[in-house]
Amino acid sequence: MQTETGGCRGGFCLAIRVRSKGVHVTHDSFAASPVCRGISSRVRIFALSVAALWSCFAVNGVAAGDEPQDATQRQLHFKGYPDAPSFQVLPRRDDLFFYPCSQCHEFMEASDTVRELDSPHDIELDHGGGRLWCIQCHSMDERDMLWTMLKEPVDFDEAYIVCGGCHANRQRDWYYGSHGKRLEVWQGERVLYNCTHCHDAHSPSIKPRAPVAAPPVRAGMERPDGEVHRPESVWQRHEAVQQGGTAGEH
Amino acid sequence: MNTEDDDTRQPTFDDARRRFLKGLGVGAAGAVAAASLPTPAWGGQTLKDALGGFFQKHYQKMSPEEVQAALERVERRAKERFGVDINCENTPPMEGVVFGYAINLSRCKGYRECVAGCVKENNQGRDSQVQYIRVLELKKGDFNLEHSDHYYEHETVPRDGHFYLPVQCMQCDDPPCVKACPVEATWMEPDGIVVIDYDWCIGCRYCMAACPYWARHFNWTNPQIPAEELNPETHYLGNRPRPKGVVEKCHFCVQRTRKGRQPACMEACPTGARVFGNLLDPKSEIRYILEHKTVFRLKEELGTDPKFWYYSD
Repeated sequence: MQTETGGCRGGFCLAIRVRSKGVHVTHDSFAASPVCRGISSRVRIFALSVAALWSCFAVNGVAAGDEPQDATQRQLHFKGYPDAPSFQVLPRRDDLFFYPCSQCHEFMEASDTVRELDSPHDIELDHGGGRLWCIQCHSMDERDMLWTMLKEPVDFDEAYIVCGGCHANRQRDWYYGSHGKRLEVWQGERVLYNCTHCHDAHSPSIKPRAPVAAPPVRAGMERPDGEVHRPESVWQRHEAVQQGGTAGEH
Repeated sequence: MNTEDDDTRQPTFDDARRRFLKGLGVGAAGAVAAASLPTPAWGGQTLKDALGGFFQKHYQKMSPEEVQAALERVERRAKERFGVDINCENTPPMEGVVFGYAINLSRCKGYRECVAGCVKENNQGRDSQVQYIRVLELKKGDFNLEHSDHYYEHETVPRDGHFYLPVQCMQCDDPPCVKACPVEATWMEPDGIVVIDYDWCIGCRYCMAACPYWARHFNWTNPQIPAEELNPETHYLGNRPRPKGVVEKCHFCVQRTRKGRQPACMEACPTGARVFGNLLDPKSEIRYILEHKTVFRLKEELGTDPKFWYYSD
């Protein structure tokens, strides 16, 4: 198991990620941080105890002596919003089809050249109007990670930190709950969908789709024809008047 | 005296008395049998339940035991009507909680998932015109609700040049429907939800005339719900199966929200346009929206003080 810290706020190391199978705790004070659902309670207890131990050291400002040597300790430039309600993010990384990327990319040299992509990554990169290329978000150093504009490695499950690099206002709204979607409850444990759950990071705009069928009309009644009674807009009327060359009735 | 043979004789008081007593005896014997059996005469219920329902008091005036008996009657009635075991509760309001709702109009794309989620969760008649939520389609630049269309059927939404405005019960803090009800069958609970006692409603529909949001709906027919789709988790003031001839409305999914769960429409919304929460909690998401976003309320000038806000960003 690999333990990592990240996203310290106000000197308190509140964001600790415990990397094991599917366990992921972020931006949460540990007093109120049950780990994401869907993992066994034993793993959860173990993860929590490791995390709690680590947070004690961090709060006291004492370096953890028995910390594994390979643990990457990161201080992100972005500190989050300390007064935003605490939350966890629904894990998604392990559902990714190609993850871990290093399976292939460990043996390939990272290239920032804009080029034609072929299978298996024949994606349509429709993000930022053609101004972006893979390595704006995907790390060239650690192939299983994303990175911020300051080249700080960030996990796939922390994609919201990368997104906020450009979309800071949206990200703030997401932290405070006016953008994005919360799972199941209106109070208590706050589990949020990540940006990438709803937005395809390579083509983020939401595509039009079919609506659910229209509601039925009561038996014996007819559906009102909304179109007929709709007036044209002010500008459409003015345009019609100008084209017709006659003064309109309005 | 042989009265049977004498056809010309006028019936005497004694005959009438005899017939009456005879009828009483037969009736009593029948009643004993009917009391323990569900019969069509009592609407498929037992006589005990029919009488219990008849003498049932207003929800707020029932003792805890009477409420319990009423809940059990609701469960038995559902079993008779749909053949499904349901669980009817009367979860009380939480302390220090007043519910509020906000919808982000920039996020709403008109998918109508909220309507579908609501119909299913709240056991609404599938063939009637009872949908608590109407997603109005409006032309951009126009906010005249009379120009709106909630029966739109396009291949894909959002339609170009249009926006969508979901309308449901605003849970007004000064609700005109409550004032209009002549029998006090509808009232505002301490957590701000305006509820209806369906057993006390007389179906006069005054409240529907009083509501400026078209949020109340009348059951013109017995609600038809497929038994396998009946939601068995119900609340007395919420989604329990309703009879014909009563008014119903959105109750912020009282059976869910009083247990901390989100309303069904919020959970069903795929875009996250809906935010629900406690207005009394300054750290809540809804309070953040009210304090940091440009919000408006529908027909606010009517002074009904809705606890339902719209915003866009």
